[in-house]
Amino acid sequence: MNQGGARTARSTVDESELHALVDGRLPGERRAAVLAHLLIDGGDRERVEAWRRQLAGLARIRAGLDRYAEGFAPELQKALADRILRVRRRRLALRGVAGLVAASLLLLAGFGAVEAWRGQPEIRTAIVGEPELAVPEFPFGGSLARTATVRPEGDRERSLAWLASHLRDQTLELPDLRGLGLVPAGGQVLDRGSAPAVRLAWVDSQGRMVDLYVGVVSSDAEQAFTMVGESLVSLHWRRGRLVFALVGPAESPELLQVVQAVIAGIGQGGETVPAGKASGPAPDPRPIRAAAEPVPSAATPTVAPLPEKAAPAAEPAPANPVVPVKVDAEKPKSL
Amino acid sequence: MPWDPYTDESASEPEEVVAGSTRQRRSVDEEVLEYVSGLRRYALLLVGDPHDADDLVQECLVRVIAQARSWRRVKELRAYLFTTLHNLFVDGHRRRLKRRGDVPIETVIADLLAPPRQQDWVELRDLIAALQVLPKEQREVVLLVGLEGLSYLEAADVLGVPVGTVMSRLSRGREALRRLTSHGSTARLRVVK
Repeated sequence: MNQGGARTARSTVDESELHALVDGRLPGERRAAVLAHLLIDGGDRERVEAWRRQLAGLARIRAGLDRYAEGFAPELQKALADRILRVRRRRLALRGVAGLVAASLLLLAGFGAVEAWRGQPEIRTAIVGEPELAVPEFPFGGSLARTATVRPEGDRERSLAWLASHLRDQTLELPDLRGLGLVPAGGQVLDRGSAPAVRLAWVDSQGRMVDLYVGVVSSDAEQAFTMVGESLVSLHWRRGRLVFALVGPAESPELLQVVQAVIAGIGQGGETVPAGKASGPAPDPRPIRAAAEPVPSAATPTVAPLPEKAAPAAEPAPANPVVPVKVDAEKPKSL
Repeated sequence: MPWDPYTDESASEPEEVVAGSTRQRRSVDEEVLEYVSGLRRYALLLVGDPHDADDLVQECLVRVIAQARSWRRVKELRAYLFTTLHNLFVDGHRRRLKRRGDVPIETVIADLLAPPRQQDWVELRDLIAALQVLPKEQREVVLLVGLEGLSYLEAADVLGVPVGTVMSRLSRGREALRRLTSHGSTARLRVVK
């Protein structure tokens, strides 16, 4: 474990908290501190990830054994019923109480009832948004709402290309997070901050959203991490001229892997979005939103239309350019 | 304080063992049987032999159902069942369970698992083999928490140990698994038919 870092929360993170994080049993108020520690302590991060792989393996074993575990062989059922019958009969003989046969028959009936009891786990498809999440102002424009809308898939590339156009000698690549179970949900240009920035969004199989904010700043800075929030966590870091903020469910240790994938992927390998690809007129600051979407409030980031790849300013916006994803704003904590 | 699954309170109130209505008794049996699949799964990976595992589960169910009077007041039936299984397992170790032992557990489980992808199966086989290498105290905790999803407190109740002991066993067990399944160690665990 990292013994050094005055800038980390290491001294307050103990081994049991690492296990609790992996097992999803770490109280919300400690998640941010432990996650922050793991972002810096590579040794502990490796251990936690290994434990997570163990849990994933056990889950696969559990799922694979479903048929075995749920199917009590008929002869075993009979043996069990016979044994229970014998035990009860012995007691009844001692106590002079009748009615044992019916009980054993009901035991067998119980096996059938178990089959009926089993059901498929309900899969949540709703995306529960947190109305507003405090994000440090620089450079994303202050408090950002987890907006009720994300733009279609294609806008991720155009958003990143637009951001890359502000870099002279660096390409940007879309991180591929499919291996982590995250599918693209869209992207948008943010124009309220002090620097060019974009938001890229993914959702997991449970509908939980992970947002990556990327901005271009004018000077190099050391990498740094900060975290805010409880039900949602925001991880921030800088790398060269790029500044990042990742927002996702705090209870999910997968966020660490997302961070690693982003760090590994956005500057090298994967889909390349070269600098200058989307150079051209600045995006129209007019917000794009679905017809049913309310007019954005002051807390809602302005969503700028993105320049089209071939003809940035000429093509009209698609008929339904915005995908509504927020389902229940009254349950922000369920993220 | 863990429950004592062997306490048979029915001895003093024998009529309650069978005096319940049909509906009551049916719900009692069903309540136990809801957890049979979890018990079988846990026992298989704990014992490493499907026959011994089923013997263990069967013995567990016989004891629990036959002593229904004592556990009707138990709040957490699942933990009570796992406690009974644990006690039988420990007792079985003392008496040395009749292990067949001629077929590796990962091979046995391969026949029981729904067919996984080949790459998945290699990892799972290593994990299953590594689990069998763990001391039983660590294996129990790793399985109760990781496979069956018991809380640390529930696991402590099941095993009759303090939560701190559960955490230390969990830590040692997971670290041992990490070492055993890391690159270079798995080959040692693999069984070539």
